[in-house]
Amino acid sequence: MLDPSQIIIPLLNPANHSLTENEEVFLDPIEFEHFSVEFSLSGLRSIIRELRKHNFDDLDWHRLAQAADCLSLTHGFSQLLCVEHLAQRWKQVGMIPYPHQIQTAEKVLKELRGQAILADEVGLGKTIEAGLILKEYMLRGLVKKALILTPASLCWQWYTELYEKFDIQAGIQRSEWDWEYADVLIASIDTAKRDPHASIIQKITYDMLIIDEAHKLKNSSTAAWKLVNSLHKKYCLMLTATPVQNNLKELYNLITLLKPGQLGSYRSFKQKFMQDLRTPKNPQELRKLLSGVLIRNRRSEGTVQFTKRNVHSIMVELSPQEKQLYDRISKLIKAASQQFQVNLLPLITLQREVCSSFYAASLTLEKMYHKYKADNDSYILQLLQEAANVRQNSKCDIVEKLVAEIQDRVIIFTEYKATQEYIRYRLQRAGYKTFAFDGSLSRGRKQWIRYLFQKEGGILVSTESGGEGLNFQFCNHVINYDLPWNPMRLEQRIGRVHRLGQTKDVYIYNLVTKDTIEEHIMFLLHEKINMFEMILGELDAILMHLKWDKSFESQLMNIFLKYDSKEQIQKELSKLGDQILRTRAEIKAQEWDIF
Amino acid sequence: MEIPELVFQFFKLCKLTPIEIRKGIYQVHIDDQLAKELDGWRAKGGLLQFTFDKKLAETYGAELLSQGSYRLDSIVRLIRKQAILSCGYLPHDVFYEPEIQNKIMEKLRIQHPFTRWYILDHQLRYGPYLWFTVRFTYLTYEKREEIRKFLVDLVSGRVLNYEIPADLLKPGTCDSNLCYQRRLSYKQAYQRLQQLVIEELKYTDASWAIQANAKLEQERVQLEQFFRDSPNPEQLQRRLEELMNRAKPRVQIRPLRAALLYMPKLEYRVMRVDTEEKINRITYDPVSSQYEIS
Repeated sequence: MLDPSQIIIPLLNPANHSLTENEEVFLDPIEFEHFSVEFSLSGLRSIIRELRKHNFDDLDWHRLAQAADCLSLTHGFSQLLCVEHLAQRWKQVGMIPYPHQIQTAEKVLKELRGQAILADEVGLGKTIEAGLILKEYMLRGLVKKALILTPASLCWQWYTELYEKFDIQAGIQRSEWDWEYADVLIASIDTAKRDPHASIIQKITYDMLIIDEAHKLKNSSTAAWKLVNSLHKKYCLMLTATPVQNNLKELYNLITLLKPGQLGSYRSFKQKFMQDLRTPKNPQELRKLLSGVLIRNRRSEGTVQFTKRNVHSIMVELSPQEKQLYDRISKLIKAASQQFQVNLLPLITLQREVCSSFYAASLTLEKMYHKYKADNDSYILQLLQEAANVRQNSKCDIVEKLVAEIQDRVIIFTEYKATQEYIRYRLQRAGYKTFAFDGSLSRGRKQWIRYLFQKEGGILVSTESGGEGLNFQFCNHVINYDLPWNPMRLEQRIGRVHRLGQTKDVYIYNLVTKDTIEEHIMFLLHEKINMFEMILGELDAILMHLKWDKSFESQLMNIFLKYDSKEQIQKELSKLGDQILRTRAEIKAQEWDIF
Repeated sequence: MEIPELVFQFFKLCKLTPIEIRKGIYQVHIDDQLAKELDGWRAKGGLLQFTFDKKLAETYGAELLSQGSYRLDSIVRLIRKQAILSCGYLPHDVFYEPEIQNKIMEKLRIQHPFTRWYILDHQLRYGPYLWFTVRFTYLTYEKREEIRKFLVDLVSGRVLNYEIPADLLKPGTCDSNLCYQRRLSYKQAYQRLQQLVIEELKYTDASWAIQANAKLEQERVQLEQFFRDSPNPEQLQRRLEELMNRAKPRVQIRPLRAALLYMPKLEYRVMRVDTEEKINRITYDPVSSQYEIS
């Protein structure tokens, strides 16, 4: 009989860890009429190696392993494995995939065979769909090496989403060595298209390539398009909310990149499907062709029910001392713009700062004082002295009252670090636990603060750059301490909490100081264009379509500098608002009816 | 094997005993080492509460062990890393031996009506077999898998394609004096298996591959047509490779594990009497119920 000591209880036997199927080697395929047969060499080698070493495992483990082998089999794409596999994790992170996301993943697997453009409207969770598909392929052993190309600002968000929601431990590309070593790698598309990176990744064969914001590949003469076209990939997903932005050629380029020949040659596509660059022909036939590669879910189809957004604008009356200082600084700005015809940007900054807090404005005034080498009795110095003497902050008084009423997690957004520090000082003095979030924090530190905020509650005081790329669906109260002049930034702030995964109604409190520029901005954003009721991402599309030669902030500043009376300013802002509303209507009218 | 049976057997082999703390909910304490094996190097040991019932999992927050669940997958993954090679034998009781003798004699008389047979003596011996567990992966746009088990006789080289009573197998080997010497190398044994599989696949239903080929052909034509209009041979070549990689029907065959088994063989020395007297050996395999005259 075999000596019992020769039988190894195999669990945790380190030798067994080398016997995984990671590096599968096959013998030359044997060709049959309809298929080929490949025998794995690696599996056999493992067995022979063990035989030679007389390394016998326990027979009970053998029987159990055989049963486990049967349980791990894949049986076609009849149902998604990842839904059951990730159920526990989703419960922990509070994620419930929407039916349209599951259906999309199933369609990509079963019908589109792993090559698709996910073109859902903004906010419907394209990243979730891509994550589902990637995880499903990974669970089935069909994808091991995957590359995710995204704008640099979204790398970290992809990393977090993949880890938290799909248990996929991806790497973020930082050096040229990373390309080969990470199985799932997230990288900036702008980095990837440059050498030496481009030439490295062109040599790698990827099982799956995911491209976020794929509308950036609409032009076939760009380096990004050429890079993606030259990559070796088995499956490919492209994510964009706007597969057509300007003309049908963009759509053709995008689809040809994914699946050459799907729309034929450009000449035939033009003849068959284009009346002119912006008007499609034979929409039914085109729709049929597109459905073979493109999936577009819309909000109007009842795909997603967002929770309610409750917006409260709170008028803050400045104390006489504060009002006087505000008026004096505004006067200085106006005078400076008329006198020097200088670049508007520093003046815009100062005007915005003075709306936020005198602490923020004081820093800029101090810089101006040093820059212009002003006298000791100069206007700037006087302003600085006055600012130092202001003892009251009416906005912060309101914030303290609000926070006391809410009694839940609150995120307070401000544009300036000085204001952020002051708010924290006031709230901590009032006995509240606060966390600071700003752009200077490392990603790891931000994650840690987010975790503490989620676990322990309290008040997060964040600058906008601090909140970028991180989502706070577990919180449903937002206070806008000051108002950004660009509505996109306001939407990004709200989007941190009001997005897929938010289960409660969201409350937004906008603090607006009476008789200041903030009142005008609130008039434009809330009353005129009703931006708080706009759907997520809609504003982005409108602003892109407007193609102004000046920034939104500059447009506003011009109006504020040009006109003095409240009525005149409102009239001009009304015009601006009308322009936005008109563009919105135009976009709706142009909505491509081909998807 | 049902999932609960597999899970309890796993814990048993890990020398752990789950306790039923509430009807249908079990608790087991896993140490750091096992936790790391299950959940990665950062995991720490602790109490694992689990259930096989979805409702109970939702009500009490226990981990659900059901087909596809994370926890079951982690256990299955760990189990599958074990036992690449095992060793066992099938003990045989000679209690039924006279009956077997009668059966053999009966068959011999029918097959050779003019020959008389006399059993001189008999002996129980064990033959070496290599028992392969093989995964067949049918790969095209989709993927389908199945597990097959093959028993290769290391003496005769025959490949037997039937289930053996795994539960009756005992660990270890039997007395080496009773064992036949193997005549096939392990590599040759695998080659026999390969031959059998190839033969089988030649006659197997290929409709899955025919359907996939039709789709593939459509895509290939589309690609070639596109690149005929805008020629770029290098690009065409790469896209065709990608297509083949994604969709070409193929069957991948991976031996996952094997066991060196010693199976009983009853060896009879018989005298054959017809025109002359001759002593033959009859080897009877009680598992397959087949005999061989040499």
